[in-house]
Amino acid sequence: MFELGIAFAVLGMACASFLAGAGSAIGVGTAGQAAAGVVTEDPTKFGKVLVLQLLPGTQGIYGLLIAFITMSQIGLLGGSPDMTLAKGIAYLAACLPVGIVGLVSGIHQGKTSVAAINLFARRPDQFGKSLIFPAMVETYAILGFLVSLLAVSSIPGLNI
Amino acid sequence: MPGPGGGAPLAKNDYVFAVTRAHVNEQNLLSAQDLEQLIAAPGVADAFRLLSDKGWGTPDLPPQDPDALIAYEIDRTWGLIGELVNDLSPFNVFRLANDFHNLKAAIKLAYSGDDENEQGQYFIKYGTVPVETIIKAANEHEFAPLPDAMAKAGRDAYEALAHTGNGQACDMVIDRAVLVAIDNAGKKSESQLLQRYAQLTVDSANIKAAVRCCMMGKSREFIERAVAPAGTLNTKALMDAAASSLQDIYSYLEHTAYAGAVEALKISVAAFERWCDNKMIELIRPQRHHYFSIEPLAAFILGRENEIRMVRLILTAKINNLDAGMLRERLRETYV
Repeated sequence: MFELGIAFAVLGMACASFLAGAGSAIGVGTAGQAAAGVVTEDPTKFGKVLVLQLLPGTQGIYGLLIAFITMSQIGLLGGSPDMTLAKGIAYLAACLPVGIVGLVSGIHQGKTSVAAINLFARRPDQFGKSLIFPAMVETYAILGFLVSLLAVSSIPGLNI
Repeated sequence: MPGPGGGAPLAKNDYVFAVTRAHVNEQNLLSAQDLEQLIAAPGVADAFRLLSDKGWGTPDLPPQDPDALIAYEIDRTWGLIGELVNDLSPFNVFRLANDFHNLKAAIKLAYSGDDENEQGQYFIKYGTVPVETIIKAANEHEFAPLPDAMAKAGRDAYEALAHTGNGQACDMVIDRAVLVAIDNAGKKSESQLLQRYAQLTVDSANIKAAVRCCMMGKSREFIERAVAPAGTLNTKALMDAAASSLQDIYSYLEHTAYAGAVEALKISVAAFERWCDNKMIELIRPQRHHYFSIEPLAAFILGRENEIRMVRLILTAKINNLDAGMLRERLRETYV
């Protein structure tokens, strides 16, 4: 039963890094196409469109952080990786917010970045505003990250 | 038929790069203010200088040659689109008109036996079928190598020309066939914009044909050959109206999506054409804020064609010293 607990915990860790990372990869990839389109026509805009392209990349970092904290707590990075089934399931559940919100927000932030890159290409003086729209999507990625962080941090203290 | 790249159509999400480049290029399209400046230019040389300042043409072109400038800009548009997408077939709805124009020219040249060396000037590039294939088919009276719709139209048009010696008979067969082909291409398209473009193109051509036939007092049989059995209009009702009177045409159109065009039609066919072009611009304008489909690319092509058409009109008027007021009446709305 103890082995099943660690298996669920590792699954949670994998979900956090995989789902959030996939969201970021899709988002950054989509925004990258738009960024390349702008730079093809006007190479002087490279620096600013790069910032807009990278905005959907944070979800992957949040997922990675949660995965590392989980790995550390369940003893995968040293120590004894034993835990109850309930704790293992609790880790899986705790990792899901950053994973799922990271996937969805990464994709949508990528699309908003595409629109923002187009806005900047048409109105270079509106770079600040173009940055805000994709940044708004980030709010929800941060919320998912915070919930996962607090939950993962609280699990060792639970008596389950 | 594959485009210049010869590849498969892009997946929906792969249009982001192409659409962004098209949107960046839209920044260089001429605005209504630019066109006004062009009209106000004191002479032809000034108009060409203004266009040059806006990035039109290249120093290699013959000076003050509107045909060379327009041809260069059309090449530039399709060159860019060819660079952006692997396959031009989604834009066949635009390119079919070039094919059928080329077919018409090839048949007439084959019939008249004109010098082949001078034939180049009559043909338009960027159709779906290579010009050489069309010329060869017309010269050999063997249209089978062409797509089915073109082959049938080619055979019928050649026969009509051979039997009557009348160029108009040939034109009518091909003009009717191109509308049916555009209508079919629109129906096959997954893009709502391209479907609407096809419908508007076919419907407006049918309305113009009906109005002209009515004005000239043509017979019902003639009208049936002029109006294509395609588009969103009830062509039987339109033909009945055309055989009766202009007022009947207006009354019929009042109950269709073209009710707004009746006032323009009452002024002139040119005013109706202007109404249709403005309707098209109204249709494509929202695409300036879309980023993930082929439609903004289609809108860019139409925006460019509209711009090129207006520049051609202005330059022609300048060269022929036509009145600026008359020119302004004929100007269309711009995409940007």
